[in-house]
Amino acid sequence: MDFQLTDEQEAIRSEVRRLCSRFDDDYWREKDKSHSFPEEFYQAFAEGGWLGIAMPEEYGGAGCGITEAALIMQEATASGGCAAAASTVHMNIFGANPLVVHGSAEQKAAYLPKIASGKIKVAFGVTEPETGLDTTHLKTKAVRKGDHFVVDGRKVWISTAQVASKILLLARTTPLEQVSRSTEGLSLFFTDLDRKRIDVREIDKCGRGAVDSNELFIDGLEVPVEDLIGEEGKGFRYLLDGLNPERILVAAESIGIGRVALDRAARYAKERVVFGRPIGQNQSVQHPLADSWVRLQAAELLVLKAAWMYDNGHPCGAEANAAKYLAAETGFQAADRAMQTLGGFGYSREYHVERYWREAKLFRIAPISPELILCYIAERVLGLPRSY
Amino acid sequence: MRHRADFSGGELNVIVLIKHVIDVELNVRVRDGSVVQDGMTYVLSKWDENAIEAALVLKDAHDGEVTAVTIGPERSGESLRKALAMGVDKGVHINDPATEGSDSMGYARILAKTVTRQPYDLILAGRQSQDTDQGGTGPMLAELLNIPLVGNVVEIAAVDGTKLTAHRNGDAGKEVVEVTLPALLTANDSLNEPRLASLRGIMAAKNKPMEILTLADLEIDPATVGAAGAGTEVVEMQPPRARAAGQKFEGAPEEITKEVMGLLVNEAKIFG
Ligand SMILES: Cc1cc2nc3c(=O)[nH]c(=O)nc-3n(C[C@H](O)[C@H](O)[C@H](O)COP(=O)(O)OP(=O)(O)OC[C@H]3O[C@@H](n4cnc5c(N)ncnc54)[C@H](O)[C@@H]3O)c2cc1C
Repeated sequence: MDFQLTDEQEAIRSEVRRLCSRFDDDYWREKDKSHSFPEEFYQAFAEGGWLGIAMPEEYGGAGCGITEAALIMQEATASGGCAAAASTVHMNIFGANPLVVHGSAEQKAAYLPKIASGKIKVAFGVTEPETGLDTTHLKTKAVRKGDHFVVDGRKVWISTAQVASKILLLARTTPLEQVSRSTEGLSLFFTDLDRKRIDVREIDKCGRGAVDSNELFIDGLEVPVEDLIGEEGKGFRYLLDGLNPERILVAAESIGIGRVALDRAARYAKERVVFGRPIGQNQSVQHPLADSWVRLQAAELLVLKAAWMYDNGHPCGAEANAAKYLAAETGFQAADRAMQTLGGFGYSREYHVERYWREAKLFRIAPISPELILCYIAERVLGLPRSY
Repeated sequence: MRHRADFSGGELNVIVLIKHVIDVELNVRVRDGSVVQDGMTYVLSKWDENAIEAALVLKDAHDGEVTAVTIGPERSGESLRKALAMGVDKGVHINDPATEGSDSMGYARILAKTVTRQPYDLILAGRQSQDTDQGGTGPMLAELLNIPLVGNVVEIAAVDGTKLTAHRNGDAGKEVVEVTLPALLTANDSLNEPRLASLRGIMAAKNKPMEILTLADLEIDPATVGAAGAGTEVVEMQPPRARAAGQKFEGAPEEITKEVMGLLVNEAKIFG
C-alpha cells in the first residue's frame, strides 16, 4: 500500500493551487453577486491545458486519470472558488465522458479537442421538472423523422445553458410502454444548443450565483442523426458508465469547500477575542473544527481510494457513492461549523463563509442526494430490498 | 576561467541556480534554537522563479538551452521538476549529504565546479534565497568564476552579440549596466511575472534529462564544503518577536487625526 502521490500528481496539485490563488475570495464573491460566468477563470484553466486533464491524448488531452482530475477539482474549490469554480470547468473536464467512451470517431475528432481546449462549452441536459431523480421516467421525447430526430420536452436545473453552445441531451426515443425495462429506450445526443428551438430561462437560486442553472423549454428541436451518441435506446447505460467518476469528482469538490471553510474558521478563531481570550481557546469552538478536519481526512481517503480503483479498472460503485456521500455531508458540516465559528460575521457576505455554506449545500442535493446514495448502498452492498 | 559558448548572434545557453527552501509563508516554528522540521513544507525560492522566467524569455528570443542547477537532498528534486515543467530543458541535482550545512561560499564552490563542466553564456540566480535571505551565493560564484555580476536586476534590456544590458534599481534611481558575457545576474522579483507550469509542461518534464551528481562526480573535496568547510556557523535560531496588538481609535475624524499624529510623532517617533 502506498499513500504517496506521485511527483507528477504533486506537481499537478501545486500548480493548480497557484493558478487558483490568482482568483481570490473577492473575485468569487463578485461573480456570485453579479451572476456573471467566471470567464477569466475558465480561460486560465483552458490556457494551462487543465480542461483536457482526463481527455485522451489523441484528442488533445493529457490522458490522466480520475485521480488527477479529482486533485485539481479539490484545489479549485479549496481556493475559495467553491462550487462555482468547480462548475465553471467541470463539464469540460468530465462532462463529455459519454462522448469519449461511446462517441463515433467523427464525433470525437470534431468535438473532443474543442472541449479539451475550452473552445466550446457544454451543458448537461438530464434532469426534468416532473421526474427528478427518477431519471428513467423522464418525459422529453425524441422522434425519428428521416435523417433527424425531433425533440420536445422540458429540462430543469441545466447548468451553464446560458453560455454553452452544445448540450448533452437525454431523451426517450422508444415510449416507456414499448420497453421491457425503464432504463431502455432512452437515447443520448450531443447537439447544438439551438436557442431558436430551446428557450433557456435562468433559475434564481440560493448559491453558486456565478454559474447559471436553467429551465429549458424544448420545442421542435431538430437533431441530426449524426448527433446521436452510440446506439439508439442505450443512452441511459452510457450515462451510468460515467456515474462513478462523476461521484468521485463531486466528492473531491465537496472536500475542497470543507477545507477552505475550516481554514477560514480556524484563522478567525485564533484572532477573534471575546471574554478576554481568543474564541478558539474554548473547546466548544475547537472541537467541532477538529472533528471536521478528521472527517474531511477520512472522506479524502475514500475519494482517493475510489479514484484509484476506477483508474485501475476495478468496479467502484460502492466506494464512489460512499465517497460522494461522506464528502458532501462532511463538506457541508464543515462549512456550517465554520459559519457558526464566525458568529454574526459568518452571516455577512464580507467574510465569504456564508458563500461557502450556500455552495457546500448544493453538493448535498445535486447531482445525487444522500438519501438515494444510502438507498443504493443498502440495496447493492447490504443486499436489502430495493426501496425506490 | 571563462567558459563561453559560441554566441555570435546564435544560441544563448543559460544556467539557472535554484534552491528548494522552507515555505516561509506557512508557519515556521522555532524550538530549542532550531527550526522545527516536522510537518514542514518546501517550495522553490521565489526569486529563483524570476530567474527561471528570465531564462525562458531569453531562450524564446535567442534559442539555446536552459539548465537548472540545485544543491540539496532528495526533496530538492521537486523544485528541479518544477523548473523543467515551466520549460527549462535540463536539470542538474547535486545530491550529497556532505553538502549539508554549506554556507554561501560552500555552495558557490560546488556550483563553480558544476557550471564549468559545459559552456555557458549567462548564469541567472535569485537575488537571495527565501529561507536565509543571505544573497551571497550568486556574487561569490561570479567571483570564483571571474565573471561580471549584476545584482538585483529589474530588467534585461538587451542581449547583443557578446554584450548584455541590464537595469537595476538603486536608492537613487535606475542603473543601466552593460556587461560582457558570460556574466552572472541575480533577479529581483519585479524582473518579471513567473509563468505557471502548464499541464503539458508537467507531463513533458518527466522525459527531460535530469542529472544527479555527488561531490565525488565533481571532484570536490568534501572538507571544503558543507558544515565541514563553512566559514560561518548558525549558532542559534530565534523566532521573530510577536507583533504588538494594534490600537483602535474612535471618535470624530478631526480629533482622532490629532491624537494619532501626536502618538506617531511623540511615541513612535516616525518623523525622526
Ligand atoms: C444548482 C444545480 C445545478 C444542477 N445542474 C444540473 C445540470 O447541469 N444538469 C442536470 O441534468 N441536472 C442538474 N441539476 C439537477 C440535480 O441533479 C437534481 O436537482 C437532483 O438530481 C435532484 O433531483 P430533484 O431536484 O428533482 O429532486 P427530487 O427527485 O424531487 O427529490 C427531492 C428529495 O426527495 C428525496 N427522494 C426522492 N425519492 C426518494 C426515495 N425513493 N427515497 C428517499 N428519498 C427520496 C431526494 O433525496 C431529495 O432529497 C442541478 C441541480 C442544482 C440544484
